[in-house]
Amino acid sequence: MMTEPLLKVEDLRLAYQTERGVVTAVDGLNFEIRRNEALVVLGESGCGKSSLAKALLRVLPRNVYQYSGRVLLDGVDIMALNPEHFRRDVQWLRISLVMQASMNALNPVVRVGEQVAEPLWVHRGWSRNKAMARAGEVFELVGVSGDFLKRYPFELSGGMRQRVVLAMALVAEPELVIMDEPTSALDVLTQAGIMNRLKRIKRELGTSFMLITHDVATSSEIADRIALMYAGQIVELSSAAQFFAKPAHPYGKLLMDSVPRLHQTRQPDHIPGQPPNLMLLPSGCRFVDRCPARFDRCDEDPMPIALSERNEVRCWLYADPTETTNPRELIKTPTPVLETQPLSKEVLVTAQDLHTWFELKQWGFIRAGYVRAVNGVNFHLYRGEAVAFVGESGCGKSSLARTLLGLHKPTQGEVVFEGRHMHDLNKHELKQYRARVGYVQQDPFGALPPFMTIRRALSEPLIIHGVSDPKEREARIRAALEEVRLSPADDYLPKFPHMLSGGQQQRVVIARSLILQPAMIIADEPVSMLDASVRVEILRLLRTIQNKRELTLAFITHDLSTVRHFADRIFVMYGGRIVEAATVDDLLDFPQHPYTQALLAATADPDAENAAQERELPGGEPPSLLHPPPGCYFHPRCPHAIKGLCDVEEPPELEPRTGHYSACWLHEEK
Amino acid sequence: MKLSQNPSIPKKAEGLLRDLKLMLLLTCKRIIALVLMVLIGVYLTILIANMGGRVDELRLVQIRSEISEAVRGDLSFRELDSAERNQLIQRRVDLEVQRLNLDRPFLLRSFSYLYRAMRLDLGRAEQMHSDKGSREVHAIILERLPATLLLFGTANLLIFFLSVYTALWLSRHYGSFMDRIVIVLAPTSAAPAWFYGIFLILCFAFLLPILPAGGMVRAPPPEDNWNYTLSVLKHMALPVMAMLLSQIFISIYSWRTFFLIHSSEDYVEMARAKGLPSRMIERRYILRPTLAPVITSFMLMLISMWSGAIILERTFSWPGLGTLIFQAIGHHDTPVIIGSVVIFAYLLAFSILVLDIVYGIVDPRVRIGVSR
Ligand SMILES: Nc1ncnc2c1ncn2[C@@H]1O[C@H](COP(=O)(O)OP(=O)(O)O)[C@@H](O)[C@H]1O
Ligand code: SF4
Ligand code: SF4
Ligand SMILES: [Mg+2]
Repeated sequence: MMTEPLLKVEDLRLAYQTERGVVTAVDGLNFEIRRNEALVVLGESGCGKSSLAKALLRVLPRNVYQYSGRVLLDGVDIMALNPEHFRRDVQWLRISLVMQASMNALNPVVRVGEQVAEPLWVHRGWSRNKAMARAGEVFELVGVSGDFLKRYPFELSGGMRQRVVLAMALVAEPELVIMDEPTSALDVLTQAGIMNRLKRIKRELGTSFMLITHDVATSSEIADRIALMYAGQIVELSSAAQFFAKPAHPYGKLLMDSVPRLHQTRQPDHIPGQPPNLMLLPSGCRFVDRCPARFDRCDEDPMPIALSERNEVRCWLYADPTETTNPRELIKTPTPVLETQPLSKEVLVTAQDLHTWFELKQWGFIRAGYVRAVNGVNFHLYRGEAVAFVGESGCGKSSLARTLLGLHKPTQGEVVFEGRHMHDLNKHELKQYRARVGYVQQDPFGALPPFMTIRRALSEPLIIHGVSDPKEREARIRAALEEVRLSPADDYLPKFPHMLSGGQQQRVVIARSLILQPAMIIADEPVSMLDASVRVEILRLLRTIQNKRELTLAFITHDLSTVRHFADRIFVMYGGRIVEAATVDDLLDFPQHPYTQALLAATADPDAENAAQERELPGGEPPSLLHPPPGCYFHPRCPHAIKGLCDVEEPPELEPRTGHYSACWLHEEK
Repeated sequence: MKLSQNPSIPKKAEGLLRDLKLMLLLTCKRIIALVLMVLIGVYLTILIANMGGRVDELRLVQIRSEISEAVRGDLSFRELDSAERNQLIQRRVDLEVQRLNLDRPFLLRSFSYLYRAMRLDLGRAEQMHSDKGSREVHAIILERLPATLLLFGTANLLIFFLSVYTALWLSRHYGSFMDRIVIVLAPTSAAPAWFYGIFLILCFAFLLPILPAGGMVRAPPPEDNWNYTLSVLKHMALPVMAMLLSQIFISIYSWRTFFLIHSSEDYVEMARAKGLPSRMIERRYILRPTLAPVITSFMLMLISMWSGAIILERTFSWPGLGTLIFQAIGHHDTPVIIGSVVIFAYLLAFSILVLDIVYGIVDPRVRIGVSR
C-alpha cells in the first residue's frame, strides 16, 4: 500500500468567459502530490499554469465560466467547502501561494513584517507580538535579516521582496506551497540563491511544493516529479529523473532539445509553430500541428496512457503497451549547424575609456550624485563578429548599448566607429551613423508604434533616410520581411503589431533594424520577453543574418546559457565595467574571474541531479552604481577576496590565458 | 573617482520613531515651499491689482479733482484769488499724496505692500466698508470669511465622503444597476456649479418656492440661535446641492474606476489568496494604498472650487469672499482686492499643507522619499 497522497486533483476544470468565446484554461487535470514531494508544472506561457494555481486556491477572476472537479486534501474534498469555511480553514493554513509577478505582491503602504505576520493573527488568532516574532523567524529562514521586518516593500531589492513573499507563504507552516514562476523576474544569482533556500526548506520542514515554471533549467532545481502541460492539459506526468533523461511525449522531447545549455556542443533546436488558440482547439491531439511524429490516429483525441505506476502520457504513440516506441527515433529534425565566419581583423567599433554617468537630482535641481551606469569600458568589436555582453540587471548593459547607439552622450571617453570619432560627427553625419547601426529592443511590442501597420513601420526609416521612390521602398520592405522569414509578406504588411505574436513582432523589429543595410546590430535582451520555445528561433535568426551579411552583432543578455552558440566572444559586465572578456568556448570552459565563476555556478543545465545539491553562491547584492565600493567592485561578495588589496585598489586588466582578459588580482599572484 | 564609502545599508532609526522624524522633516519642507508660493502669488496680485502703478495715476487725477471740487465748493475759501486757491489745492493734494505714500516709486511701495499683506496688515479700504461700518480691510474680510468657509467646507466634505464610500461600494458591485447609472451620469459634471445653481433656483425657489433663492439668512435675522441655524441651513441647501451636482458623479465614477483597477493589483489578489476577510482587504489593501491619489484628486477639486467661488457666490448672493472680490473689482478698491486675494492664497496654501501632511501620513513612500 502506497502512502496516501497529500493532494489529489480529479478532473479539475476552469474556463473563462471572454468577449470572443469560452477559453478552457484548465481542461480536466488529474494529478497528485505526496507529502514532501515537489511537483513541477512545466509549460509555455498561456498553457494554463497560473490558472491551475488560482483554481486550487480559489483566487478566481470575475469572468469564470466553469469551475469544477474534485480537489482532495488529505482525502477531504476542499472544492465542496463553502467559501467561508475554505477561507478560514484551508487558505494559507494548509495551502499557500506565491503568485506570478510577485514583485508587486506586497502592499506598498504596509510594513513587510506585518504583511507576513497577518495570516497568523487573522487565521490563528495570535497576538501581534507573537505573530511578529514568528515572522522574524521565517525571515531568517528565507535569508532576510529580521531588521527588515519594519521596512516597506519599496525599500527592499527585488530579490529580497521575493524572499519576503516566500516567507509569507511559509509563515503558517502550510503543508503545500504553490509557487507560480517565483524566480523568473530575478537575476541568475538571486534566482539560484532562492532555489537553494527552497531545497533546504523542503528538506528540513518536509513541506510539499508545487512549482510552476516555463523554464526547464529552473524546474530541474527542485523537481521530484514533472507535469508537462500543453494547451490546458497535462500531456506527460513522470518522475524528474525519467523526464530529464528521456521524456516520453514528443513535446517533452522537443522542449528538452530546445533548451540552450552551457556545456553542450550540440546546438539547441526550436519547436516550430505555436501552441493552439485555446478557443479553436484542433479536434484531435492538441500538439498535432507541431508534432514531427504525428500519424493517422492523431486526429482522435488521445487519452492519458499509463506507462508505469505513476507515469502517464497523452500520445497515441504509446497506445500499444507491448510496442515500446521511442519518439526519438521517429523524430528526425537534423538541425543544420550554423556556419560561422572566421573572425576578420578589421576593427569596426572601438570604445575608449567609455563612461556614461547619469546625474541624480534631488528636488529637481540639487545634484545628489552620479549613477555610474557605464564606468570605464574599453573594447574593440571586429567586422562580422557576434559578441555578447553578459551581466545582471542594472550592471549597465543597456546604458552601454544606448551609448554605442549615440542615444546617450558619453560623460568621458569615446566611441570610434569605422575610424571616425563619434563626438566629431555633425547632425547630418550622426543621422547617417544611426542608419549604419540597427537596434533591436527588449520589448518588441513597445518598439513598434501600435497605430502603424507593419508596412508603415518599416517604411518609416526608409523615408527618413531619403528613399523617396515608393517602389524601391516596397521592394526593400519585402526583402527584409523575407529575410526574417515572415512570408508571404502580403499576410503581414497590412497588419497592426497587436495582431502578431511576440516572436513575429520581434521579427518585424529585426527587419526594421536591417532595412537600412547597417554594418552593426545592437540587440538588447532580444529574447527575454519572449516564450522559451521562440527564443532559440529568434537567436538563430539573428545569428544567421549576422553571418550572411557579415554584420557585427552586439547581443546583450543576462542569461549565460544562451550565449554558447550565438556569439563568438563574451564580455562579462559587473557594476558598469567589463570584468572578463574572452572567446565563448574559452570563457565558458575556463572562467577566470570569480564573478564569472559564480554566474556559471548559478546557471544550471537541466538535470534531475540538480535537485539533490545546493549550489555554492556568493551572498550579497550587486554594487550600488551611485556609491560603488572601493577597489574591486566584487570584493564584498568575492570568496577569494584578498584583504588589504582587493578592497583598496582596483584590479588591473590581466591576461591569465592568451586572448582571455580578466580584471582580478588573483591572476597577478600566480 | 572613488568613494571610500561602504555601500551597505545605513542604520536608520526604526519604525515609528523614524516615521515621526521624517514627518517632521516633510512638514517643515512643505511649509517653506508654501510660504514661498504665497509670497509670489500675493506679490503678483499686488502688481496686477495696481496694474503696475497705472492705478496710482488714476488715483492722482481723482484726488486732485476731488480736492479742487471741495475747495471750490467751500464758502470759506470764496474770497481767495485763483492763484492762492490753486496753491491751497496743490498743498492739500501733496498732503494727501504723502499720506497715501503715492510720492514714492511704485516698486518700493509694492514691497511694503507685500510685507504688510504677508503680516495680514491689510490696510484701509478706499471705497468699501464692513456692515458694521469699519473701513479696515481685515474687518471687512473677517466678516465674510466664515460664510465662505461654511459653504465650501460643508460641500467639499460632503462630496468627499459621499463619493469615496459610494465608490468603494460600487467597486464591489461592479456592473450592477447603480454602477451603470453612475457611468451614465458622470458627464453631467461637465457643467459648472453656477449652472446647476441657476437651474436649482428656478426649480426650488420660483417654480416650487420651498427654498430661498439667495442670501445667507432670512431678511430680519431670527433672534434665537436655533432658528438662525435653521435659516442658514435652508439658505445653504441650494448652493451646496449645486456644488454636489456638479462634482459628485464624476468623483464617484473616477474613484470607483480607481478602486476597480486597484482591486486587480497583485497584492490584492495575494490578500485574497491569504484568505483575509473581505472587509480587511477593502480597508487595508484597496483603500489604504489608494488613499494618496484619492486625496490628491480631492485637493484638485478643492482648488477648482475655491476658484469657482466668485461666480457661485454671486449666483446665490452668498455674502462670502467671492462676492466681496466681485464688489471690490467693481469699485476699483485695490486694498480690498489685494486683501481678499491674500486670504485666498493663505487658505489655498493651508489646504495644500494639510493635505500634504495627510498624504505623508497615509503613504510611506512620500514620507520616506524625503530622506533620499
Ligand atoms: N536615463 C537614465 N537616467 C538615470 N539613470 C539611468 C538612466 N538609464 C539607466 N539608468 C540607471 O543606470 C543603471 C544601469 O541601467 P541599465 O543600463 O539599464 O542596465 P541593464 O541593462 O544591465 O539593466 C540603472 O541603475 C538605471 O537605473
Ligand atoms: S498523439 Fe500524435 S500528434 Fe499527438 S503527440 Fe502523439 S504522435 Fe504527436
Ligand atoms: S580582485 Fe579580489 S575581490 Fe575582485 S574578483 Fe579578484 S579576488 Fe575577488
Ligand atoms: Mg536592461
